[in-house]
Amino acid sequence: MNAEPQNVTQLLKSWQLGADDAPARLMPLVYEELRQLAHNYMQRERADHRPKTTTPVHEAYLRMVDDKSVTWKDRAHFYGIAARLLRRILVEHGRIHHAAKRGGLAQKVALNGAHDLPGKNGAALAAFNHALESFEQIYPRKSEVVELKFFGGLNTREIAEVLEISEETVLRDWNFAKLWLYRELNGNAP
Amino acid sequence: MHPERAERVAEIVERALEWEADERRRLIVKLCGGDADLRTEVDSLLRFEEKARVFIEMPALEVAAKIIADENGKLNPGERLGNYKIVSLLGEGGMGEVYLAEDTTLSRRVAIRLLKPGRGAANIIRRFRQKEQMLAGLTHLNIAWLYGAAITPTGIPYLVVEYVEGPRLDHYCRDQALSIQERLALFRKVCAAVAYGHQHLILHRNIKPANIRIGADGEPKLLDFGIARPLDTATSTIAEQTLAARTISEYVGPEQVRGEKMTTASDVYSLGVVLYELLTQQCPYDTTSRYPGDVARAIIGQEPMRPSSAVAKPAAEKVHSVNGSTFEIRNPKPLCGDLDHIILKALHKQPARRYASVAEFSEDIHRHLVGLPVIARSDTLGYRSGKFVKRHPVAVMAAAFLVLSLIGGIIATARQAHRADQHRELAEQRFNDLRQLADSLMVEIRDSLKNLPSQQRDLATAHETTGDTQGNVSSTNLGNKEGAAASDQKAMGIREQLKDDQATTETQMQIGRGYRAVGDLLAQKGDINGTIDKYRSSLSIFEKLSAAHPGDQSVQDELARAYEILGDSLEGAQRSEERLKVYLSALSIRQSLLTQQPDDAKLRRSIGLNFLKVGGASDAKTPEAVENVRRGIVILETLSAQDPNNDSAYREVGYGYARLGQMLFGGGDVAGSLESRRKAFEVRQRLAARDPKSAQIQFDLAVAHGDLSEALTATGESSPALDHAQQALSILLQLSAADPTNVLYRRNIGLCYEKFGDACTLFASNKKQSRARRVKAWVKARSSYKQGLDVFAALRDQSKLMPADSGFADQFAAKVAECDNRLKGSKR
Repeated sequence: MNAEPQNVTQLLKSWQLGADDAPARLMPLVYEELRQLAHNYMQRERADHRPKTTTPVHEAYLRMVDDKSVTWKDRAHFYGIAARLLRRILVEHGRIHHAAKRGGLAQKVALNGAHDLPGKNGAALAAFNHALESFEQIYPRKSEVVELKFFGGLNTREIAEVLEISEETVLRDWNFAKLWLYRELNGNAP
Repeated sequence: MHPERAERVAEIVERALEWEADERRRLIVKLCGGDADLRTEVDSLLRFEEKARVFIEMPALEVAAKIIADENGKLNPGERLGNYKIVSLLGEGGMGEVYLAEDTTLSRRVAIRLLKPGRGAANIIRRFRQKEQMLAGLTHLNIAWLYGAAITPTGIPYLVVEYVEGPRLDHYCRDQALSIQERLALFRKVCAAVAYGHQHLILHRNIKPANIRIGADGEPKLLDFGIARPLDTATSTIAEQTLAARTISEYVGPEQVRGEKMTTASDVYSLGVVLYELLTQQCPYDTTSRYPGDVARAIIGQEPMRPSSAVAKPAAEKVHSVNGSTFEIRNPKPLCGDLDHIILKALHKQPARRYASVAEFSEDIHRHLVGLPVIARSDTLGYRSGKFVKRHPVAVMAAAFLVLSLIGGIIATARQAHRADQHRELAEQRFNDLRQLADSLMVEIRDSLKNLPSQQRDLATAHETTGDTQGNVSSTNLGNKEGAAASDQKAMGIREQLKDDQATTETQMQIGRGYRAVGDLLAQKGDINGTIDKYRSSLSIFEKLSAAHPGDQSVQDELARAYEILGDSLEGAQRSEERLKVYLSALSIRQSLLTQQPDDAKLRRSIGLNFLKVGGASDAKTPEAVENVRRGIVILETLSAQDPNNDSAYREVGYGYARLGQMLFGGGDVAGSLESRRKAFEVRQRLAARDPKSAQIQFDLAVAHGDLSEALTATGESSPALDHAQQALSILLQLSAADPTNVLYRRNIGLCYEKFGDACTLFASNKKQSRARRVKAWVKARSSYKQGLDVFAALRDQSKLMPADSGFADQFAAKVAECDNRLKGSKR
């Protein structure tokens, strides 16, 4: 892994300051993490239920965005930026993938933990992103929780710290957002 | 929506989520007041609570990574995988995609089934290797053939199976508007296939209409035998839910839903559901939901509707009509009675109360078809088996004891096989299957004996034995051979009391096959005397059966097989006279069977191989022996020519020539031997080109190289002889490196060292060569003999030497000494 945290942080900061090429420069780093994770799936036995702090995914997030050099004051903003950037890259990635491969992302991704629960033909990352945009209009804070958790990979405690709300509120927001977004994506399906 | 109203919705939903059912309803009513729209909005969100449970719980990064992993594991049309060219995606199964592919060397179409890694990938690959051999042994008209298995360059294991182009069983019945009788006849063929698998101690685990295809010849073919992964029970709640979501179909039995051990009764259950749907076009359970949790609940808790009532229901009420079929059996009458009982018996919630075997299930349908009273008709406790026990008390008891004694034997062998892991696994697997069989048998006997006080004492004894065996399972003393032998004796004692007509044919057949299975197991671990013993027991059962039922073809078939395998096992014990005798017995049975079934290719194949064995067991110098082998080859060549795409038929031709070459060589006809060995070599080279990864074919090829080398040495051609011996060694050493415990490989390595040494000796003895080169050849010969000696000495030290091979060590030592002599001489 060549992505030095310092570089990622610098890129994030420069994006924050208006450098438009930051996402493009960050993309390879994110892709490398993705590739590595995908490799893990291919090679290793995977336990579905592990403590979240030790998952390769969490480690990948940490490698990309954890930065001790950011001051506490900037942290919330920093994580927010990181999550937004990851969201943009992942959605973009999904779109490219979908265009490149017949029946790629849109058909395959069920955003469930399982492959096969309702929604197998339903939500794609892009469609989900679209739903989240609608949600954002009505529930700005709740959508931030979703962004930090789903795209940013933060856990409940971290989100509570970043948004300066209680952990209970994070959980309530999350549970509500799930219902709302699920309904949005699955429409009137019974 | 107004922001304040949106906040209100969120607040109510969030609070409601903290409560269950009634409390929640009251809270919502209270909080919404009279606002119907608000209430609708709140309810429309809350109804997704269950379904959204795992939604987006997996981080986006992980989702994206999984997609990439999935894509990487995908195959695209045109892509090549060994000899196979991907044509198209056929579908996505529970374990991975299934592709249509073309075998480019054999120009036939095959299905390639990927087994995606994931949970327990390492385990799967290991089990898959082991299963490959078991599954490849399933050759049945109604089972899709498993051609082979391998691993893709990206590390995904896959199976290559026969591609069956044809409709699903249920669609076929519907589209052809088959009558109930026709459906039942078709279904019984499926049962025969499943029963065949069970005889080989393999469960199907995933029987459903989509896995049963009707070929162009109208024969049903069962797909995916034994491939389904058993449920992994050691999982957390969430994982369990997702897993359950993936695996629970309406065809699995309650024990499988609960993640308990599956048995042959589980396949009986699945077959029951298939039959239910074939006859009623409906799912047995009255559930509108297709959501896995609901299906699981229905399977565990709901009694299935009577098929006749299900059919009688007006169409509008049919909640879940299978495949929206248009053709329907509407008349409940034909289903009333027998068929209702038969199907419901197969669907019993308790595995032990279902049919004891698929064969019995099928037999009962047959009884119904021909108008005999069916077994299931009186499912009241004890009626059926009670009646059976009344008629054959000793037989039932003996069957139970025999199964238990077989288990004892298997435990013993499993313990002894601890050096070879794969054998132990196989043994344990078989042990578990047999124990299940014993358990269900015991339950049946107990139930049926409840009303028969006079037999309580026998029952007690039976239980004692069960207890003994099961107690032994957990104790360290498990493999106690004496214990196993004692229980064996006891069981045999009871069996001795039997008159032949007291046990049913089927029970005895099972016992005969049981002995054979144990014999196979012992053969794998190299216990020759044990193998012979078990095969003899198997033979004597089939001999008695044959005497009682001389006209029964399946008995005759089993009898011939029993003779044949006994002959095979005698080879290692050097009892050639008896070997010839039993091979001749097998041959004569088969020849008389052939007069009744002259077009049976399988039988002709057996006869072809039988001729080879008869020839092989006779004195090699007699012309009759050679003649018999030639007759065998002619039969096998004809069969292979009729079915040119069949690799195994072709392989047998190679085997025939190899055998002939061996005999001619033994009889001194070196030129003739060379000729047939060249033919054998050609066959194997061609096969190896078609399937370069098959260890079996590589092994055959190595043997052919070695045989050629031997014949070439004998005809004085040292350099091609050296070349072939070298190639044989290089293949064998590779094979052995991959499978170091394989005794057969090691033995042949030893033999090939000798052949290489012989070729060197030939070269060294050629006076035309320079002195230096000859000395060098002697050195090479010596080192080769020494290596062969080491191989056999090691085998001897590990007690893995076949008695027939016991002379090799001395023979090699003498050759080493001879080389030393020559070298000493040359120094002078």
